[in-house]
Amino acid sequence: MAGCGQEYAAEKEMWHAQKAVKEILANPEATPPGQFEVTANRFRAIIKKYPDWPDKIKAQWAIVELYIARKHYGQAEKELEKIIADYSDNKEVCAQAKAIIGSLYEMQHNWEGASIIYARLIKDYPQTSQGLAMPFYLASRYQKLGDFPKAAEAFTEAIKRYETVSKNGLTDKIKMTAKGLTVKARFALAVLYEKEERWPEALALLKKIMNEYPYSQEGLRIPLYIANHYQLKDDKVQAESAFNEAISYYQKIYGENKENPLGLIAINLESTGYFNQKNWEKAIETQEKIIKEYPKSPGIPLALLNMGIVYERELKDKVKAIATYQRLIEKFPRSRLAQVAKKRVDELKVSP
Amino acid sequence: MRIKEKLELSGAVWRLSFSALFKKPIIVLPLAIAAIINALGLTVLYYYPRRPFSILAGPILKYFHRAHYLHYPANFLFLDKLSNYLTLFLGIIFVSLLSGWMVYLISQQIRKETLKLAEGFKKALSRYLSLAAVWFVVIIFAFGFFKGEGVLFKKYFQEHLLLFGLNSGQMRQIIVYLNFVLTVMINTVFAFAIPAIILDGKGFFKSIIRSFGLMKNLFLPTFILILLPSLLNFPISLMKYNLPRLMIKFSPEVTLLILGLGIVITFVVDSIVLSAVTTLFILNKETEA
Repeated sequence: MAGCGQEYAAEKEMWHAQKAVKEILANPEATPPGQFEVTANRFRAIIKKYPDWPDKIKAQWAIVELYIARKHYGQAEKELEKIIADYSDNKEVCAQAKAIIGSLYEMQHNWEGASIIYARLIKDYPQTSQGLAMPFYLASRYQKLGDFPKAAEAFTEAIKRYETVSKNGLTDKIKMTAKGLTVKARFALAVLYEKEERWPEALALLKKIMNEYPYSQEGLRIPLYIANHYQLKDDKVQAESAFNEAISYYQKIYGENKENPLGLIAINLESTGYFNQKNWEKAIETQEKIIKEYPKSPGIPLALLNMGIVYERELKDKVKAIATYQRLIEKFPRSRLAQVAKKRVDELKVSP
Repeated sequence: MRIKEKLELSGAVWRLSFSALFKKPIIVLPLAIAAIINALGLTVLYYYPRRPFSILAGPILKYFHRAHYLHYPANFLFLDKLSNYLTLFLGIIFVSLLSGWMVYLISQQIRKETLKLAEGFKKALSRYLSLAAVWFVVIIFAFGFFKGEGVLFKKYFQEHLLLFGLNSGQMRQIIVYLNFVLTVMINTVFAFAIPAIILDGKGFFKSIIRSFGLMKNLFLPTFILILLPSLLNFPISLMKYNLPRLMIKFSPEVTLLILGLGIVITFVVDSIVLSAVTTLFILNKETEA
């Protein structure tokens, strides 16, 4: 805290070297090959000159970044292995280095090699942020590659792992992270089932999330998600019923949580339900309620803009559209949405 | 006095004051010393993130949640702020005295007397408290003025300018221009306080009243005498406003260059302004007599 001449000098050299890196990364193809090595050597010099500098790992990461930019993946991997060796007692750093090694294999389209690295990462550093994120990432990758059975298996495996860590994690932070990932993984698995036309299984999983994690981000979205599913399938009866159920659900949460942020989230979701149902009058009514009950909410400018657009495009009420846009402009002149509203007003004024 | 006569008066004052400066450049010695003190102060400030200065600076910055200013290159942004405070502090302690000294020397030259450096310094020293007090009052006045300007701007003008499509960067630039004009105006109304202290022997309070009183007839010529040389400071103000961008484009050390250049230009501008204002004061006094 008293400052150190060495640290300041290291920061200075680091800043200038990082400036050189930024210029290279802006256009790596146009950079002469020699310049990569010169810049990498600048970082090596910093590491050698200031061995006790706490932030010297930034120099090591920068060298990796340079080799990746130059597509010298083998060299990048060597540098990452060096980092793992130098920081063997820092699991977070080692896990991050391992994750980047995995991504290097992916960059070379070697998914098999990458998945082996990621599996190793999960095994060696299970309770690091990378170690926790990796099972979900692996499952998502299988899904992106179109390997749905493997993806489903990986999500199920991930859920089991997260449920265990959320109970037995080393710290409260790790437990909370694992809990959040459990919900995410279950939701992702439900979406996968839906894509595979296994709707009953998807629905069961979604309901389970709603019951066990009702106030999680995913848990709150699920009623609308279910309703939208039926709407997309053109099942009007089920869609109507699901929307009504979702709206009642959100009204209940709003009623119980008016004074806290959950109330605002719930009423916003209720409004989204009306929008999705194309129930414009109710949607506008709910937006007005949000503006009245939560005047300091950062979402008010967007609410006003949405209302204006509904008046303009759906209800074809030019007068109310202009009035709503003007409200936005007068109340929030500094908002970017006010500029959008101003354009809409100008166009509406000249249109027939 | 009509406007044309006032403008001609400004021209005449410049001719006289420049003639005095060129004939006896030693007159600017006091402000040259002020510039050197400022430069030394800036040098010390530059080293604040490093030992031994960081031993003191570190805990203070940490207390005010500004520990990041101990690190490169954030220390240069803080250096800009610090140098402003330093200028104000040195202004009260040293520059007030040195300005008084220079006023005395200018008056000797204008009256075609032999320059007596030691006598001038003693005279200024004997009036030091009044000089420092005037400097302090000007700073407080300016500070209050700029604070008030900021509040009024935000309350009455900002929203209208936003509706005209101006972004916040452009509005900040308008404030830079506005601040420049306001600074010149504040300097104008207080311009004769130091000559009144040194040449009329007035106390701090009466010197301010005298200065305000002279504004009735002399506001325009004084404003011009201060505005035109002060325009040399304007590029420095603009560079300071764009400091973060310049630091990234060139190097953070460009801050030192800009602040150093600012000290040199301030020396030049203050020398011209002080000699012109003192000359006008003397001419007016002779007219009144």
